[in-house]
Amino acid sequence: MDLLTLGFLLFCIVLVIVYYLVPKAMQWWILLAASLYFYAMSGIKNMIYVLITALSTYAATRMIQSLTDRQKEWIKANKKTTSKEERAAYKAHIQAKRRAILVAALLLNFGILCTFKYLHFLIAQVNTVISSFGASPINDTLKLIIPLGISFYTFQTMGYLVDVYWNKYPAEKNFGRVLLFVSFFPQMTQGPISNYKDLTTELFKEHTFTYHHFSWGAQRMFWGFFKKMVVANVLSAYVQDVFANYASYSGITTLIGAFMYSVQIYADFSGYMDMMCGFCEVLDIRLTENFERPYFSKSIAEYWRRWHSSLGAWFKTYIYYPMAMVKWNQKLGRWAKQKLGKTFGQTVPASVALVVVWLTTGLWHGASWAYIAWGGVNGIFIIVSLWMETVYASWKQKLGINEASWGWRAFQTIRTFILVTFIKVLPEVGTLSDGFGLWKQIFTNHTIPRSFHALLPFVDKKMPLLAVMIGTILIFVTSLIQRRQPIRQWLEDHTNYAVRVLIFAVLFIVIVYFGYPASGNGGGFMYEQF
Amino acid sequence: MNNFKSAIRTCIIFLIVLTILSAAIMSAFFIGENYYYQDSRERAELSGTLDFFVCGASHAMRGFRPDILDQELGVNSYNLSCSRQTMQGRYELLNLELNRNPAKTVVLELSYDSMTRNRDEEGPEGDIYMLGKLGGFMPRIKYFFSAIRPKEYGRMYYNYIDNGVNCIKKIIHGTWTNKNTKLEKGYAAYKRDDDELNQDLKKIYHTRSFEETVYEPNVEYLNKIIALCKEKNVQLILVTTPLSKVTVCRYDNLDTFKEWYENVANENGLQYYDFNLIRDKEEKLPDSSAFSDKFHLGNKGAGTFTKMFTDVLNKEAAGEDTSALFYGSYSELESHMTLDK
Repeated sequence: MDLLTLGFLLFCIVLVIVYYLVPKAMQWWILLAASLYFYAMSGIKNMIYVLITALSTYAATRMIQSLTDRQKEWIKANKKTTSKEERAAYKAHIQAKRRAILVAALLLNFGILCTFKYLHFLIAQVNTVISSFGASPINDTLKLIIPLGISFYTFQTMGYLVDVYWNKYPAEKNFGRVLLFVSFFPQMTQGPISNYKDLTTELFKEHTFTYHHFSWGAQRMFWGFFKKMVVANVLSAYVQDVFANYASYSGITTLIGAFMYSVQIYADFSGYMDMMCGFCEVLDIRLTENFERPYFSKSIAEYWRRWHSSLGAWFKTYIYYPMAMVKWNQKLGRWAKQKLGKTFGQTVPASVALVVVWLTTGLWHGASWAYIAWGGVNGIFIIVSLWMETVYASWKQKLGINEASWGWRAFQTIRTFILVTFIKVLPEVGTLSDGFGLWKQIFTNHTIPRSFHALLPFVDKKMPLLAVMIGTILIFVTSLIQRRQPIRQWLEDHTNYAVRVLIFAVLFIVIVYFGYPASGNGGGFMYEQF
Repeated sequence: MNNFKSAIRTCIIFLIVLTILSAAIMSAFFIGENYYYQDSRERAELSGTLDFFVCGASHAMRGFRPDILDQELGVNSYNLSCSRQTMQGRYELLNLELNRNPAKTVVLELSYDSMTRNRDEEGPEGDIYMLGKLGGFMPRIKYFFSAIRPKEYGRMYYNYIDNGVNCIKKIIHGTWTNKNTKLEKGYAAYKRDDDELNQDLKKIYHTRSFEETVYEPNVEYLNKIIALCKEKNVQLILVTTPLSKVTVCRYDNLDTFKEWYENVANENGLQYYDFNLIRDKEEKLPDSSAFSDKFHLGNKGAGTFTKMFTDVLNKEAAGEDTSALFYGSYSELESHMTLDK
């Protein structure tokens, strides 16, 4: 179901009304029905994969939980009659079974994800290798369409599975609740990737309609629509033109196109988050926040803590920490400490874990060498910052740089924004060589455009560009305000009811006027492709 | 309950404010020079005096000159046509006008796409114009909900806001007016576009076909128009306006549509004229001067064609057999046609 349609708006209105009319104990059933309906609209066949994930996760977590409970009971019952070695052997036996179930469930679900996302890429790479030996390539005739949201719900569900394995909380006994956790529609297509405990606390508590949640949620939805339809969709047309024709544009024009892409992807993704978080707020459900003013970051590492933070948190919890703590990596760390010093003893295991995290993050975003390179470049920046931390600190001391000063923080912020922009565009232009080609164009084409049309040849009409510029300034200003308080609180403190109604009525007209014709250019959401 | 009441109150206030703001933006468009709203005001002023109507899509809008109809036939005519006018739109407009005028004759323009134009695929453009041409708030609301699909409401709202903004820009630049100088009792002249008519006829001969899948609602509304005219005792004449020679040569299935309309005419005891088949068309309506593009007559061509049409009607009225003035089919026409420019 397309989110930017009257049909979706009607769906939301009906859902809110029914949700608050039914008895509170039934509210989550309504959410489940709505989520399954929403997903069915994208194609009944796609539901099969959601059900496989939900069923396999439910079965696996119940079995793991049952083994855990059995172990506890056995230990309790036989503590006095068995030796320590016998109890250890029993624990190891149960643990092996638990691990086997975990691995089977992970292989099944990640296997489905990898087949849909990476099969064609793998076949292409194998064909490249075997063609170089003169053999005939594998015929890739399968036309696999990636099920909607599979990257998001697979990661979210596997996180729950691993949490149960780690005994963080007991397995859910009600299959319906597990199914809702897997399929909850506001976060299914683009996240946030939520922790089971946090999300289910929100989903299954009793929700009461309050005017405050309704008005704040609606305001946030409006803001999300504005960012997506007026800023992101209009920029999409410009950015696509630049990426397709950068070779014929000047370096300055190409650079402007790259910066526009940074604004576009933020407006698109955070706009979606605002829409969905706003809608959930109307339902008295709080989703995990995914963005915290990422372009105000002072380093690449900080940027990734503020951009799509739920994905970062997932990788940190389920990839980074396990990799950092695994025995062979710890052994490597001890070796590094011995040979290279204390600093390397700490940074080498972290670096190894970071390499794995960033290569898999790149792969998660796309099945191409460009995305793998993108992940690698991000990882390199973070690892180098880690290694050079003490060196940078000594340089700053010697140069007398005051880290708290406005100038230094501004420099760091602008530097990070430029770096992040350059890294972002690498996989978006096309192939990896296209990405490098765009970088080269920026640095080597020094033509100075002499007119507006020469500077921005992709702009047909000036009014949409003006709307985008004003929209971007508004996004920047609201981000500044939100450093101290939520923008909605600021509006309530500084404006009266009538002014707020007028602001949102004007916003509605602006969204329709500037957003409608552009929605054909970038109608879908960018992160849906992942 | 108070929370719920507050939410409902806020929604209502928001909708009221939005409606007032939207109306303020759109108002300049509705009272301005917009062709269709201008047209409905003019027809309202002439209401009760019109006795001859032409109704069709853009071929008729650009092809029939009411001033020549009035002069040659001694009538008080009006051209109700507009671009992309649907059969539903034609019916609603005729229903409106036949109920408030002493109409004696209706000329219904039917072309190669009058029965095949699929409203669900085409979109609401013709209906947007119709909403302007219909007079009064209630007829417009009624037509809006019967013709416009819910999925098109967003586009409609955008369309009116866009028109309003463009009028506001004209007001700011001092070029806004509420008089449309191009309007002549529903007829609007068309600008010439040379490139479309500069073709090698031998190369393009019978290389394309028009869509032949009938969209059933079009047939229903055609039957409604026929019934309406019978009920009002109004003479209904079915007409296909002339197309450029380029178009007649390029498309190979124009006989299909001619036969459809002939059957309708025969079944209902009506007259049907296909002016592509009139014998002196090539001499009187050459592509080089009579047509503005492949499908539409220019101002000069419209004058000539309207005169040709009134001559046929006058001959009919005088009891002459006008069938000899026309070829029997496109095949016969093409056997007499040269493909040299």
